[in-house]
Amino acid sequence: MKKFLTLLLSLVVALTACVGLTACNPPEDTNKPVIVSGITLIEEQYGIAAKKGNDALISKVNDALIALADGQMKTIANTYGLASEIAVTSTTTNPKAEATDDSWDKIVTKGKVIIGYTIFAPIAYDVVNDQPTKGYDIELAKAVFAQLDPNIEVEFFKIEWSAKEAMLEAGTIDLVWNGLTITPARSEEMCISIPYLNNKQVAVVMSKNAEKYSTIDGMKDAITGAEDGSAGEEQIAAKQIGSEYIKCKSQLDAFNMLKTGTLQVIVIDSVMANYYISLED
Amino acid sequence: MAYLEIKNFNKSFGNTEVLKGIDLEMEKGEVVSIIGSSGSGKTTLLRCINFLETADNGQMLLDGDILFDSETAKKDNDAILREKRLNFGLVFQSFNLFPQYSVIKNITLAPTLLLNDKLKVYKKQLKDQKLSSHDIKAKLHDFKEEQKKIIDADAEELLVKIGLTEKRDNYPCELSGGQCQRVAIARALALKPKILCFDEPTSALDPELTGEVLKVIKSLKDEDRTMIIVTHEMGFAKNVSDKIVFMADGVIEEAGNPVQIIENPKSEKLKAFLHGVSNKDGE
Amino acid sequence: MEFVEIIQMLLDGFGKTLLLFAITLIASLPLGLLISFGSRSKFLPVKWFCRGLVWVIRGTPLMLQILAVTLIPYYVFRIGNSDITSFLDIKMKWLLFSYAAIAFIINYACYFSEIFRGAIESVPKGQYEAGKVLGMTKNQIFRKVILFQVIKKSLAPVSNEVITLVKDTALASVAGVLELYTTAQSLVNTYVVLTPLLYAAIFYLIFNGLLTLLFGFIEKKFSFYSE
Repeated sequence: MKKFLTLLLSLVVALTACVGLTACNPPEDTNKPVIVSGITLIEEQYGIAAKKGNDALISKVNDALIALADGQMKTIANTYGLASEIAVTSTTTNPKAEATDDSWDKIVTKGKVIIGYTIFAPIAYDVVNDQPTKGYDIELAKAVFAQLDPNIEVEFFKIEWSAKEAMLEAGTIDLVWNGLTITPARSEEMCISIPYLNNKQVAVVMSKNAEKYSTIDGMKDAITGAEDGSAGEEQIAAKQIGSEYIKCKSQLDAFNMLKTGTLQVIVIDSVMANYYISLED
Repeated sequence: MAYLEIKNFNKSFGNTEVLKGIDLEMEKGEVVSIIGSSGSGKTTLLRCINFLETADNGQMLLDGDILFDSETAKKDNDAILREKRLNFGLVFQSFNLFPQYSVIKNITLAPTLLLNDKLKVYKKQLKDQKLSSHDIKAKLHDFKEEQKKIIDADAEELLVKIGLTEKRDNYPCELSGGQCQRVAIARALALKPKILCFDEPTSALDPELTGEVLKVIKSLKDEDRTMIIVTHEMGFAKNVSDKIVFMADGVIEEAGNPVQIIENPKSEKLKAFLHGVSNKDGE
Repeated sequence: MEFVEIIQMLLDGFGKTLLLFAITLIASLPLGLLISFGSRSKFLPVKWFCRGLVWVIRGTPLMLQILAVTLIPYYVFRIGNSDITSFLDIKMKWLLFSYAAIAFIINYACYFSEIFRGAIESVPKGQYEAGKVLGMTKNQIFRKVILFQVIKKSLAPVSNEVITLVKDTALASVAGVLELYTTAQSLVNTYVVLTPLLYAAIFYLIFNGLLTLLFGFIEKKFSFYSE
């Protein structure tokens, strides 16, 4: 008994020491993450993806997006400060209107649509009982399916971003609706909707280094990072940014690694960057 | 003055007093058997003599030199203790052979390790003589080879003595209990101890195997070895010993020549003990 | 991407797995022996420290420990990892690899220490006493009598841990290390085919198979005697 208590005591002392050390060095308030404005990286748009060939399903989604463009879409966008990025208008045309496959019918029969997401504020976040409750994509998706057929239950399913194509293929999810950047490569592999939100990839650095890392050339010695399988990763490779690249598990991971000094330059979605930077204040 | 003198050994473990004042004397070449029931303290006495335990009180003299004095015992560091231990050999009830070594290696291991220590001392001596390092190396090499030959020859002789020459390269797990105990005896003898001790050498053996071990011990007696044997074998004790000591409850109840002790016990406890032993034999 | 390129990437991942495996084994086995001595020490602070360390390390997930190591520089010392890499002039991936290695070494050392401690404690006291009465020093008794018996008793449980280690290396991905499993997974997700995972499984199987054979051989070598 005596030994156990002493053991416990020494552990408590050790833990307190660690916490104390942490408290002793408060974080520098002046070093914050900032977007590098001098660099133009790819501008892009978000789309909603389904398994290749499921054109009917995407066609329906397109119709709903167009229908909601002037009304609900704007309202939802305003709550997230994204109104200026809306890419759909009521006059946008639906390129998949002639779809004839049974993908939509299957959803109606099933009575449920499963949408893959990752935690990506302000697009999808605040998970309660496995379901994200907040986010632009979340609310928009619910509004779209309410518009199409109120009998269809919308269920969200958390995925590994790098596994999105595999999960669509396998049928584990019906749609990927999570700030998916439309690229030619992806359009080949998946069936993608009309663009619904504008976005761009941005480079984010810590303000301490902002002067040094203001151009791609200035970043040539930097350690870079982006989400595995993301558009940001493609940009870093395409524009040969930095001297060493580290794959990250998520955009949030990349952001944290930037803050804690493991990465010096990250390339993430501007939507996300703006949101997380605003949280730092 | 006797060859080995033990004066007033006391030993307690916690609150239990196991040795309550033991005085013992033996001459060179004598064989003393210690008998008594379990708990009488005989094993503890043997372990104190071999420096496996430290008596709380008392003195031990060997050939006139004070080997152990409870007053100064704490000052003895490990090196001194080692040297003192080498005066004695101990054969354990459960043999305690080293299972990973062959019979011959079990016997030569300790002498070989001691040789290494001797080499270190010799090396220092040579260095003091200011010989060239080449000469030192050569002399050390010769000395080592010479000593190794002696160790090996002695070991082979011991194998003959215990009758196990053909088992030289076998491992303890391949031998019977009696063979193992014989090897243990050879192993103890390899260091040429002044007094050889046995802690119930046959108690862990099947009855048909005790004979071979007792035979070896008898042959050692014929060589005039000084031995202390803790045993339950009354017949053997009577045949081999010059003196039998009976212990009970931490003291020596009675001691004397074998015939006296076994055929004419005086103390009540001894009578009861012998009676109990003979009843067991009768069963 | 062609077959050859996929295999090359997998080999690269396997190289990291192998390196992590080797470094962990080489460092954690002797460290484990040291900790087992510490756990049996008569000097109480040492004993309690060792036992406490083993309790904490064996009682928390390895994944958590790896994560903790990567976060300590910033959260405890307020130093960014990129500062460390520029100071030491090494690549970030090697710094992250070192963090994983450190966590693995400490973790496996603690598991090994318990195996060794059990083995040491199961060597009969009589072996020590026989050594003593034969005039051997504590050091000689340990090196010449006890150690061999401890190794023999430890072989089976150690071989178990070693095979677990091969598979645990996949956890190094938590530190950002691109070892075999993560590389395979990344390839599967990029090209939507399962074959890289199959190849990875084959790599692991062959490696483990070789280890099993090796340990069988070693155990046989030690079986020339039984207790």
